[in-house]
Amino acid sequence: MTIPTILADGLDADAIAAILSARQRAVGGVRQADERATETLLAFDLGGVPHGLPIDCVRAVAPLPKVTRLPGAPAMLDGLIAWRGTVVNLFALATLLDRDTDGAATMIVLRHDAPRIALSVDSVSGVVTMPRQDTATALSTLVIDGDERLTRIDPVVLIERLLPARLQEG
Amino acid sequence: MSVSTRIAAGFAALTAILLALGVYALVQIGEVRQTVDLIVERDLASMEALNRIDHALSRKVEQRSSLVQAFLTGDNARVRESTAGWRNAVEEAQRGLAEQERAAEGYRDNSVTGTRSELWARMAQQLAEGERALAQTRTDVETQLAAVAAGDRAGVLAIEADIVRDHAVTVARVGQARETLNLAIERGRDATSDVYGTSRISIVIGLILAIAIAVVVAVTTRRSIVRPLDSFMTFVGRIGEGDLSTTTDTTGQDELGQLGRTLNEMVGGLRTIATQNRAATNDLNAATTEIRASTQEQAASVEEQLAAVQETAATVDEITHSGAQITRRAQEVIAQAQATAQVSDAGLTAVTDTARAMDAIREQAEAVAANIVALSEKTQAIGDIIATVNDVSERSHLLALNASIEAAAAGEQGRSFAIVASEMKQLADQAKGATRNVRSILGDIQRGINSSVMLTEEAVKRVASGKERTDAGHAAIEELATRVQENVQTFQQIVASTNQQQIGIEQVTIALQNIREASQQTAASTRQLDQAASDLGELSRTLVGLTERYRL
Repeated sequence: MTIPTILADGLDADAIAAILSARQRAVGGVRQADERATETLLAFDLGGVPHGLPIDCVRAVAPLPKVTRLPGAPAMLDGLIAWRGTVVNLFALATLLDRDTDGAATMIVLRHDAPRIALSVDSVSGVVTMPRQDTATALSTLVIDGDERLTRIDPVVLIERLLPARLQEG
Repeated sequence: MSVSTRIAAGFAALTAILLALGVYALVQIGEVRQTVDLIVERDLASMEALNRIDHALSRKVEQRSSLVQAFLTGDNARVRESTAGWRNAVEEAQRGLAEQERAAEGYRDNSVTGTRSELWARMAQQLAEGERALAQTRTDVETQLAAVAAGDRAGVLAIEADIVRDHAVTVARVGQARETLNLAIERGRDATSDVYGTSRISIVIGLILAIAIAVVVAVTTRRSIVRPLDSFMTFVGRIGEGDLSTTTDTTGQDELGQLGRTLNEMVGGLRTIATQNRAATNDLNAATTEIRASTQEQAASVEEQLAAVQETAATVDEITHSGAQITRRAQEVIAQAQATAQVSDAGLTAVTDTARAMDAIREQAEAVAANIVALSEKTQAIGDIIATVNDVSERSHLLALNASIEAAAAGEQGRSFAIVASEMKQLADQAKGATRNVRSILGDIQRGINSSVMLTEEAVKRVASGKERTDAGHAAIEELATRVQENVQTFQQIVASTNQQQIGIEQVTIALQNIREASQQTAASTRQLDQAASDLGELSRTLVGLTERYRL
C-alpha cells in the first residue's frame, strides 16, 4: 500500500490557482458594475444547484439552530426558531422550489418584520455581483455572467409565495 | 349286550326259575300237610266222639238192664242207683250226638273235598236220626220207669220190646255214622293223594322247563362268544402269515367288538411299522450304496493327498531358502533405518531453532502493532483538532458574509468594508480548504495506519501459523524418528520371527512326514472300510428281502 506524499505548506498548486482566480474575478466584477446595471447577490447552494438572493433583502446568515416543529403546518414551513431574542418562521426553500437536498445546515434571515422569515439552505457560498435582470417578476430566474450561472430568487415573489394570507387580506 | 351281561342274565334266569320252582314245591308241601292235618284232626275227633257215644249207649243198656234186674228182684236201692246212672248215660249220649251233629254240620261247610262234604252231611243226618231214636228210647224208658215206679211188672216187660227196638235203631244209626266216617277218612286219604300227585307233576314240569331254558341260554351264549372268537383266530392266523392288508369285522359294542377294534388298530400299527421298516430298509440300502461310493472316492482322495504331501514338502524347502533371504534383507534394512534415525535427530535440532526464531519474530511484530495502534490514537486527536479548526473557519466564513451583507446595507459607505469582508471571506475559505486538505491527508494516514495494523496482524498470524507448522514439523520429525526406531525394532522382530519360522518349517517337514505315513494308514483303512461297506450292502439287501414278506 502506498501512502500519498504530504506537502509541507498544506496547499497544492490547483488550490492556489483557484484562490488567485477568485480574487481576480472579485476585483474585476466590481469594476464591471460601474459600467452596467448590476446587483449584488448572496450566493447559496440548494441541492447542489447555485442560487442567488439580492443581498439587500438579507438581514443575516447563521448556522441553523434548533427548530421547533409546528403541528398542522404547511409542508414548506419547517417550524419556529429563536434567533437573537425573537421568534422567526423558518421556511424550507427546497420544498418551495421542489429541490432535493442532503439536509439544510445554514439559514438566511430576510429583512422582513411581522412576521420574521428565515430560509433553510444547504450552505452559503459567498457574495457575487451579477447583471441585473429586468424581466417580469418570477420566483426563479436563470442569471448568466460569463461562465458563471446561478438561479436568482426574487424576494418579493418569494415572500408573497411564503405568505399568501397577506394577499387575501389586501 | 356285552358277553358278561349275557352270561349273568342266563344265570339269573336259571336261578329265578329254580327259585320259583322251590317256592312252588314248598307251597304244595304246605298244602298237603294242612290237608292231612285237617283230615286227621277232624276224623280223630269224630271217631273219639262216636266212641264216647257208643260207650254212653253201652252204659245206658247196662244201667237199664241192671234196673230191670233190680226191679225184678225188688232191689229198690239198686233201682234208684241204676235209674240215676241211666239218666246220666242217656244225657251223655244225647249230648255227644248233638255235639257230633253240630261238628259234622261245621265240617260240611268247610270240607276238603265235595265228597267229604256230602259224607259229613250224611253223617249229620244219620246222627240226627240216631238222636231221634234215642229220644224215642228215652220216652219208652221213661214209660218203663213209670211202670217200675208203679210196680207194674207187666208194663215193664211190655214196653221192653219197644225199648230194645228203638235202642237197636239208635245203635244202627250210630253204626251208620261210623261207617260214613270211615268212608270220609278214605276220601280224605284220596284227596291227600291227589294233592301230592298234582304237586309232583307240577314240580317235574317246572324242572323240565328250567332245564330247557338253561340249554337255550348255554347255546345262545356259546354261539355269541365262540363264533367271533373263531373269526378272530382266523384273522390272527392271517396276520401271523404276514398278511397285514385285511381287517376283521367289528360288530357290536361288547367286549368282542372292542377286541375286534383293538385287533384292527394293532394291525394298523403293525402296517405302519412295516411300512416304515420297509422305507428305512430301502434308505439303508441306498445309504450303504452311497457309503460304498464314498469310500471309493475317499481311496482316490487319499492317493491325491499323498501326491499333495510330496509337493508340499518341496514347497517347504523353497520357503526355507526364501526365509534365509528375508533375514539378510531385514538386516540391511535395519542398518539403513539406524542411519535415518541419526538424520532425523539433526532435523529435529534445526526445527527447534526455527521455532525459537519464529517466536522472536512474533514478539517484534506484536510490538510494531502496538506502536501503530498508539499512532492511530494520536491521529484521532489530530482529527478532533482539525474539526475544531474547520468549525472556526465555517463561523469565520459566515461572519465574513454577514459583514458583506452589512456592507451592502450601508451602500456606498460600506464599499471599502465590503472589500475587507471579502478578504476575510477569502481567508476563511483558504482556512477551510487547508483544513480540507489536512483532513484528506489525515484520512490517508489513518487508512495507511489501518492497513499497517492489518498487515502487522496478518504478519503476526502468519508467524503464529509458521510456528504451528514448525511445531508440526517438529512433531512429524519426532514421530518419524520414533517410527524409524519402531521400524528397527520391527525388523529385528522380523529377523527373530524368520528364525523361528525356520524352526517351524523344520517341524512342518517332520509333520509332513507324519502326514504321509498317516495317509498310507488311511489308505489301508479305506480299503477295509470299502470291504465293510460291501458287507453292509449285502446285509441291507437281505433286510429288504425280509421286509418284502409283509403284504401291505
